[in-house]
Amino acid sequence: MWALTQIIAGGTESTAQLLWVDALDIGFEFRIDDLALLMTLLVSGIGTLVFINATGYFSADAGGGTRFPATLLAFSTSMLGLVWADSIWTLFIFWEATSVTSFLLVGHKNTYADARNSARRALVITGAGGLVLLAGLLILAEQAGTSTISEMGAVSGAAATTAAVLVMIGAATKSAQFPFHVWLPGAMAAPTPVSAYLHSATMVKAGVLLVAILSPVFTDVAAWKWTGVAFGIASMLWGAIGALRQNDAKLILAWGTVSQLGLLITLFSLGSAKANFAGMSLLLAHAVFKAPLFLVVGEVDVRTGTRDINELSGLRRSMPIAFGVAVVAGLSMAGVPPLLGFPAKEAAIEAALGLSGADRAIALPTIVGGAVLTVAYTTRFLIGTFGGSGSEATEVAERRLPMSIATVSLGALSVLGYVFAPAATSLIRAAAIESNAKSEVYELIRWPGLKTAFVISVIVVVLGAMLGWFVAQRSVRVPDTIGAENADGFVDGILNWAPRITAAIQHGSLPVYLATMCLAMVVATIPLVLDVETGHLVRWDSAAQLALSIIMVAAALAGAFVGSRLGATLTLGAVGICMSGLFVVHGAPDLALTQLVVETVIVVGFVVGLGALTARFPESTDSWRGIRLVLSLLGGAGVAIALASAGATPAGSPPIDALTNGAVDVGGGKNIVNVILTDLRALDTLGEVVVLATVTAGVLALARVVREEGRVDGVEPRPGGLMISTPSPTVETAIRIASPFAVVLAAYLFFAGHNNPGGGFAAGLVLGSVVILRTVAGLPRRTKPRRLVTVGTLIAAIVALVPIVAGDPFLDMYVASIDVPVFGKIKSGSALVFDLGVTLIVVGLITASIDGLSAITERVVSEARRTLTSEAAS
Amino acid sequence: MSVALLFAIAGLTAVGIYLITSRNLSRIILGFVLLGHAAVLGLVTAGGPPGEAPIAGASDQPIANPLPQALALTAIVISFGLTLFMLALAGRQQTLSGSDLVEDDLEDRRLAARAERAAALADLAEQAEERDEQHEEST
Amino acid sequence: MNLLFALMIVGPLAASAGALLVRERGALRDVITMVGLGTAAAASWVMFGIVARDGTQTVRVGGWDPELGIVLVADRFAALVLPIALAIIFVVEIFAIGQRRTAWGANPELSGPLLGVLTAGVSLAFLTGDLFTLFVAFELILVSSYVLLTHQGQRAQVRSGMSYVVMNLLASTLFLFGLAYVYAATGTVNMALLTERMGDLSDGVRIGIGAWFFVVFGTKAAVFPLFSWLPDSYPTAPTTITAVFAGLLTKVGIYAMIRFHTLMGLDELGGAMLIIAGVTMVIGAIGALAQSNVKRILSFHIISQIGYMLMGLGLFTAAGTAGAILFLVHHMPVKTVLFLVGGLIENEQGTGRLDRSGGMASRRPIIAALFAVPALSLAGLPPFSGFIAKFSVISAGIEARATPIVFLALFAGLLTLMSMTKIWLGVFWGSPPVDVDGDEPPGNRKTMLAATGLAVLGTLTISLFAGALFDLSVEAAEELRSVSAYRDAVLR
Repeated sequence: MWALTQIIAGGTESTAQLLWVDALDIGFEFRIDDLALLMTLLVSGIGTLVFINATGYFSADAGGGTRFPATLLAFSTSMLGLVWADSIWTLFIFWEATSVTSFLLVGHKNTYADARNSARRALVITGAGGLVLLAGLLILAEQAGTSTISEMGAVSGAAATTAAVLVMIGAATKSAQFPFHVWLPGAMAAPTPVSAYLHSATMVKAGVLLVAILSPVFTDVAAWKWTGVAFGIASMLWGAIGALRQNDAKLILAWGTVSQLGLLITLFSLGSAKANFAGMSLLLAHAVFKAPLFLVVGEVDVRTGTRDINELSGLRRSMPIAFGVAVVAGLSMAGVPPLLGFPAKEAAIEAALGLSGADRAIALPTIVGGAVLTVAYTTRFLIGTFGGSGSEATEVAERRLPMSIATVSLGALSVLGYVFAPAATSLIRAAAIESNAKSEVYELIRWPGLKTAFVISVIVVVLGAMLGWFVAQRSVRVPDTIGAENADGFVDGILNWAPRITAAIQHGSLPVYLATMCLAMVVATIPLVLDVETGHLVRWDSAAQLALSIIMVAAALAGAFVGSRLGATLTLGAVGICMSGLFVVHGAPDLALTQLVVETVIVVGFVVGLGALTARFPESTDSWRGIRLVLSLLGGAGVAIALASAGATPAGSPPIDALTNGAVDVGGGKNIVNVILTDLRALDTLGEVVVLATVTAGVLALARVVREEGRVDGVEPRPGGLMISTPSPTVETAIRIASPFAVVLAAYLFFAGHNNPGGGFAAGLVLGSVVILRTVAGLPRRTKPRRLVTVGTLIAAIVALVPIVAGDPFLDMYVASIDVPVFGKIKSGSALVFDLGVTLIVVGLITASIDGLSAITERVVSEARRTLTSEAAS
Repeated sequence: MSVALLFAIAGLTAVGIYLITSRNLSRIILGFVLLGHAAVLGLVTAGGPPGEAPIAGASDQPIANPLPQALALTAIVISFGLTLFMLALAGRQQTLSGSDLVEDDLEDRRLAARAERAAALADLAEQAEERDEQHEEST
Repeated sequence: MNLLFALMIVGPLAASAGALLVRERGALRDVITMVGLGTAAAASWVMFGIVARDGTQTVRVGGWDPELGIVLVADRFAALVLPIALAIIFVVEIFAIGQRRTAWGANPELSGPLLGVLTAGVSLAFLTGDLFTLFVAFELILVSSYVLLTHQGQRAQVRSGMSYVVMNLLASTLFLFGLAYVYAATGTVNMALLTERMGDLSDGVRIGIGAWFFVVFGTKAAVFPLFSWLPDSYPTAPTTITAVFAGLLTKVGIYAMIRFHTLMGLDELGGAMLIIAGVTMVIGAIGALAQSNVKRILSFHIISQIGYMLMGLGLFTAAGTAGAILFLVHHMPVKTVLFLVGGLIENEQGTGRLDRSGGMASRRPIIAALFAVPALSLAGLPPFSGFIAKFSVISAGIEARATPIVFLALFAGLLTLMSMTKIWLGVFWGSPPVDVDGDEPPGNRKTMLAATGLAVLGTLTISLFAGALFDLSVEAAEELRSVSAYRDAVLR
């Protein structure tokens, strides 16, 4: 870190750029000006001393490990990135990084619930502030037309006002301004070196720094000044009052920090050059006196085991070095000469005096009042921590050298800063010029003489000391951690409400989910329904169509309301037959054929798969039948009307002639539907059969799980399972005789498919039916479903890939003329091979389903039987 | 476009929706079969008026549009596969629960129960506070 | 290009079938699957290179005219998203091989082949220029995921699998109805032709079709109020499966939405989309906060993040679409990695429940680090890809003056951060649960850690090249919005 300082100390102003997301203007732009230099000195200088101190701090509890220094280093890096940033996005990136590293550091002792909660609170508040800041910066970047800070001109207007307020809120969260300050006292759960570093000297200054560097940009925006001043004054007073009401030495300092940060924000947002200079002076002075105070408290904590000022006593004798540092730093904080805090505070009062009008009327009394309170809590802190008589002196452990080195070095800076005031002035002035060019005329004044400001200062110190002494004599009832509770309450509130909201939406009831989807569907039909026309509609294409439609809907209705399961299944079959009929009437024989066989298999599936269930559906108890009915009617009507509306004035016509020519000339088949399936849209078919193959795998997997469970229970499944009810010789013979015919039929459908209704699907389905029949009759069959579907998929895939070898598009089908006895001349080729794959998969699926379903059903029945017997036995 | 077919589509869809929102798995599957039919009929209806079977050269009359038929066939087969899968899944459910009723999701119910418990606790705390206040007032 | 497409779509299918043929021989089976998935992924990267250089590539499957047959199209959008998707599946398969012997229960040989089917489905869905083929691709993806989810037959899996299957089946049925509307209105299902013909339709029909497909794709993408299937089903599957699902499935839905609604110029739906996007992102984040199980928290995050992508799309500006695309590219790997880490956590302590976890940061710092990177990225914190993704969507929102949605997005971001904190506090901080035993956790941890590490590296790479990726997203978005580029490439 020193090395870094060395590098930048070389030139006063240097820039570096690293592009990240060019198009969004997000990159790493750095520019080290004098303000950045001042901050760098603080970050790296205090950082180094804190590191030294931490080695002493952690030697006791050994909880440091490598995690702590690594995180601390990560923080320093982020902080340096933040102060060097010349792009608001670079600044933002490191801003967030400091929030995250701070979270880790605050929660360092994460086995304590307190530390975890405090870390969470800090992250939530600064995280929320970060998001607000992001919004503000986005608007700012849009208004300013650049994200480079040094190139930004002043902005104004409504959008700029929004940006100003948002940015100020973001800064206020980071710099612990009222009412966002609540995270800072909690953050004292962090190890003390962390508090000294992050929560006094560096991270909390990020907000102040942001206000300082953006002040020139928002100089024309009144809201900027007033939100800043409001935040600042409220925090200044509330923080100081809070400090007077704490008994934990560290918390006194933390609340004091809130107060001091408030003063800084006030000064920087006032906008006058003098206030700006005073702000810079205080920025430096505060870092230099607050850090050693924290370190002293850390030392007290480590060596005595407590930080409660009511318990501590006599430390001024037992810890003389720490006491000395505390007095020096404390007096600097109180603004007493000859220490750096004095000229800084003097400058602040001067600045307030130099204002006019409302600004002065508000700023002067509050700044003076804040100063009085500051002196008061400083006095109380010193008396409380180090005072008390020696008789009941607190036991003190041995001194640790690294801790003393750090505290003494830091404490000395307050003195040196006063002694070498001109040097300090040049540092501060150079920094102040960066945010307000007119600040160059001011300097730190070691001894102003009897001027108004000085008189005020004297009164402030006297009043404050008396007040502090007075409070120190009385025991203070520590208020509940004001604000922190509310912040946690907010978080807990969200955490408590979240389950309720979630439980209301994600209630786990599938029927309601489906009803929601149907409702969404009904809503989606509205535009179509509103646009409906009826000119293109005919009542019916044929009487058969009308009759079939009516019968089908009636059958479906019957199926919905019939109480018997078998009855419902049979109506399903009836619906399927009507569908087939409709397809025939429409001129779709392939569809009709497929539909018929598919329906048969599904009905069988239902019977087999649900065979173990009670014959009747359980009595319906659902209370929302009315809603379901309404939804159904709306859905049915909506879907149909939408279709009518969509087809009213078509924007294009289907290329039927081109399809016909293509099928015959290129596809080499007369059955256009079949050619489409095996050639034009073979890719769809490939996908579809893979769907079937995958279903096969799924059904087999479930069946296997069930079988294995059965095996564990000692029940060996039979092939075919329950399906073999009572072996009947007649049926058996009939099926034996029918089988070969069915196979021949399948073969015919398969080969004829290209030119006549039929094809791979139909053939597969017929073969599958044979398998079902033989299974039911308990006859042997040689179909291994897994083998069938894998080989089928492979065949289809290979047919798809082969054309690539020849340089043709994949799934290109080759046509050849083959003379086959009985069938005559067949013009076909690779499409036929492809269709073979389809057939194999369909047979495999049906076999797997019948086997799987019956295995599962058998298991259900045996389970039920076992339960019955065990119940009977007991 | 024929109103008879639209009526069939509407009827199947309505019954389908009614069935899939029941708590009974067999009925839900039945409902999906019906919805699948409705969608397939929709595709065919969208393809235009009926005609001769689309076999090239078989007839002089205009043929029915073959493309939606091919699409519908693919859709039928896919629904077929998925119906079988759902049957197997429903069967597996029976081996686990002994019935074919749809169960609510346990985690969701647990969460809801927690939320209710928390709300009840909050109410209790509030009541206790009120009692304390009344107590204080009376003393 | 012909070969590449075939390798991405047919190759994995062939490998799956091949792997199942030798399913008794574990090592050979794994090798075949890996080769199939690996070549598909490699092919997609080559495709990315070609498309980035030469622009949109098309293949007419079987050599048919686009009006008659199926066209596959790799435009910049597809070429940007597909390689990431396929790489994810490949990495997860490595993880799966490490985990398989323990966490897979019954039917372990199926996972590889099913991932192959899923790969084919994803490739087809991303590449197809045909609306009906998109339906088939969806079915491939869904059926493989149904089986992946339920093939172990556990009670929770069957129950949640049922919701998953049934809700998606309804969406598929609605897809078919949608196809019927489209075909009735235009006489084609080819998307390039549709871009021409949709414009000639009356507004009611055009918007109605758009709204209908919004419901269809919205269910797959899990937008409010159609997301219910997701958080119930994802957490019950084995880690690897959930990781793939989380990374890809909903994203295929949002991908289809971006492609369809942008190409068809359905800007009128923007307002409705933004409203739904806002509700989705907030409800998702609230749902995440409500959970007390790592995987369930992560599952709800998916929903929330879908809201952001929908927001980018719903703005219907080039910047918004670009933001949505970048968000998609960022989200897929990050979400997958988080689920993989979730799996590592479960593997370490035997549960993902927060009340039975703790102290992992000190016991397994590597896992903590592997979690922290994608978690911060998902919460949208810099300097990770999530920040750029969120930034691009939100800045597009500000540009379009859509203030309410911008603030909802920021609020949802805060809730996301809080829920990530919840996991961190529950799992990584605090004291270890009392009943933690000294037993070595099961599985091949080295393989699992390596795969996760690889994936985290991948997300870091994405963060590093966020600039280039954003440029590509902008190009892809502009190409999508200037519909003619797509149309010309397909029909010329």
